[in-house]
Amino acid sequence: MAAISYAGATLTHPGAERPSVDGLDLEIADGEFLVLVGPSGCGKSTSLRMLAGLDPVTAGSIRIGGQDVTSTPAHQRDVAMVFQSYALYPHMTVRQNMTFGLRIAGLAKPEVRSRVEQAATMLDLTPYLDRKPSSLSGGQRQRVAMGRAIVRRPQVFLMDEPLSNLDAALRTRTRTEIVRLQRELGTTTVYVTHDQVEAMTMADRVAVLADGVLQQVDTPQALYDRPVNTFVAGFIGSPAMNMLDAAVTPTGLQWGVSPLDIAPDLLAGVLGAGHRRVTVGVRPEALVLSGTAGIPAQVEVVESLGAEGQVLARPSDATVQAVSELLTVRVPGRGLPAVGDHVRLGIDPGQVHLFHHETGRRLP
Amino acid sequence: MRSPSSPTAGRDLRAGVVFVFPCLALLAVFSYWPVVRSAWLSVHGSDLVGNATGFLGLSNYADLLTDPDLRSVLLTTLTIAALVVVMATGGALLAALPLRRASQRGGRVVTVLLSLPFAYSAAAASAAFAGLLAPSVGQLNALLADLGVTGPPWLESQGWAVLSIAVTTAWYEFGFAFLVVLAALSRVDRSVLEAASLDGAGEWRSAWSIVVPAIRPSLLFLVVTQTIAGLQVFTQVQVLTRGGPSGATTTLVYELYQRAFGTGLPQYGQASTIALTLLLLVVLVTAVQMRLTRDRA
Repeated sequence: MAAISYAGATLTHPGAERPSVDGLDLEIADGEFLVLVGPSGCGKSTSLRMLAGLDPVTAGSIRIGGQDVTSTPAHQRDVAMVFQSYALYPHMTVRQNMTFGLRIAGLAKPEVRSRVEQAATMLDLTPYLDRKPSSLSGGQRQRVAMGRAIVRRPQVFLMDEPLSNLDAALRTRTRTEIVRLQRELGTTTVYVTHDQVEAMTMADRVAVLADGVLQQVDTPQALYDRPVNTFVAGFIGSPAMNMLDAAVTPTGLQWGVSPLDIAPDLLAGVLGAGHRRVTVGVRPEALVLSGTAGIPAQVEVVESLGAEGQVLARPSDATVQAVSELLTVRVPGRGLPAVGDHVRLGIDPGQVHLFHHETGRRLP
Repeated sequence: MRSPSSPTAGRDLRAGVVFVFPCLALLAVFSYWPVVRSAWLSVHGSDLVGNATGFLGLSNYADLLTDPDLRSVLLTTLTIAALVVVMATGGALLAALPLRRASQRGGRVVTVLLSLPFAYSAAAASAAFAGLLAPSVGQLNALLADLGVTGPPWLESQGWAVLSIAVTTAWYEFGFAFLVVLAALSRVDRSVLEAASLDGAGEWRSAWSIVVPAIRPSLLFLVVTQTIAGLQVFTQVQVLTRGGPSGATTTLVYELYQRAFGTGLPQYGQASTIALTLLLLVVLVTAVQMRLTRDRA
């Protein structure tokens, strides 16, 4: 187990116009479960591969357990990785897959046997130890990949989208298993995913990346409650936060013909800073369907999820229709409106996020 | 579903026969008939123009195993074939493995250079090696002499001559083997190699434990094709040594040619026996490869 430190870690591929990972500064505590999340091409897998020693670091440094490993080859870093494709050795049995690293490390046979049996029991793999990967299901292969990592007892676990090839039900179950195992073993874990639900449910902290740049790193709840910019605000949370481009007036915020209710101290802040326009972020649960007050809109889509539902409504105001997407409202599962209904969308003033109109950074 | 006896099925069958017939006829005339004819001749005596005479039974085959000269020819052929496999396939593997890590541009240049022997004919390759290894005027020994080293008698000593024939054949076969290995390596899953690296495997361990098993079918294919090429060596012997010194480099095909079309009295029966023995060896090697490949699958 060990703490990890990225210090200005950068990777610029030869001939590339911009870095794949740009000056990443990130501290990961010993035993922490950190999730790197972001859209495709944001640099999350590259950051992980740089930590593993599979991709080079062209500037900055990486430390594991206080040791600078920036130039250390992958096979000397004492990290174990679970790949998206599982990367099992196809010609070896499950047992051989799990013992390969241990045999290279020169562990005594009884120790090797004991570790494999322990991991196999933990992962329910005992009946499959003498099978080849080709005869296993996707979920079983995923568990073998986990087992191969666990038996090594490395300083760090690295996981690169290990659940993306599983079906939805198995993904949810395995997600819980991985978290349980990590808590049990206490090994520092860096987990890459593009799925923000995985990130929110598994992580101690989540690091959000976009275009190779770290946007924010914090606990899942803090990311949800106080996103530092419109990218994080839009990426974290499902359904995504509604973004409204509003004008700042001395009496309040105005979105087209609709006044937007926000807390007085927030309004004072943006007025004091001289902003003329702001981006207003409103989570779907901060919008309420109201018969009398709020933004006039017409219901276009109603999605019932049983206990709750989502209503997608198009603002009736012609001045904002051209620039606005449908507004998403999270509502209780009972008494959903019908498609075509004219409704008003009230905003909970205490749950409004304000962002700089041009830079997208959080205000204040 | 169409019944086999329907008029359409009959028409399809006739069309199939018409399309296949020219190819089958050519195969029958130039491949199958010579085999049958050889088999017939191998158990008969023959006259000067190759007609079968008296029935001899398996005496020609017994000669092949008991005649010291023929046994030596068989041994030489097998030795050359084994050396060719080791040098061409092993060399191709050793040359291709480092290229996995080479830069794209550099890798392409090296690939073209190393696969060039594939473009040579056996005669051209042999002529090139004749220039290098020829007694007195050979370029290789001249170069060694410049370096203060006395080169060995490449084509005059029995052992060196066998090695020279094997090296020439291996060099000629190397280009093809290199391309096959390179193609096989390009299909090895990169993440599996990365997993091995994270498991602590260095370059050699990774190559031996992961890469070689992954490209095993291609290596088996090469072992078979190189063995067959080694068993059929003729041109190299004809150009470099003419079977010498003292018959040390006489291979099965060279011996076969000499017995059937050489300077002495034609011995078509014995030549046919050698040809069939060679065919059996090739079939045996191929069968073993197919068995090994099937077991693996």
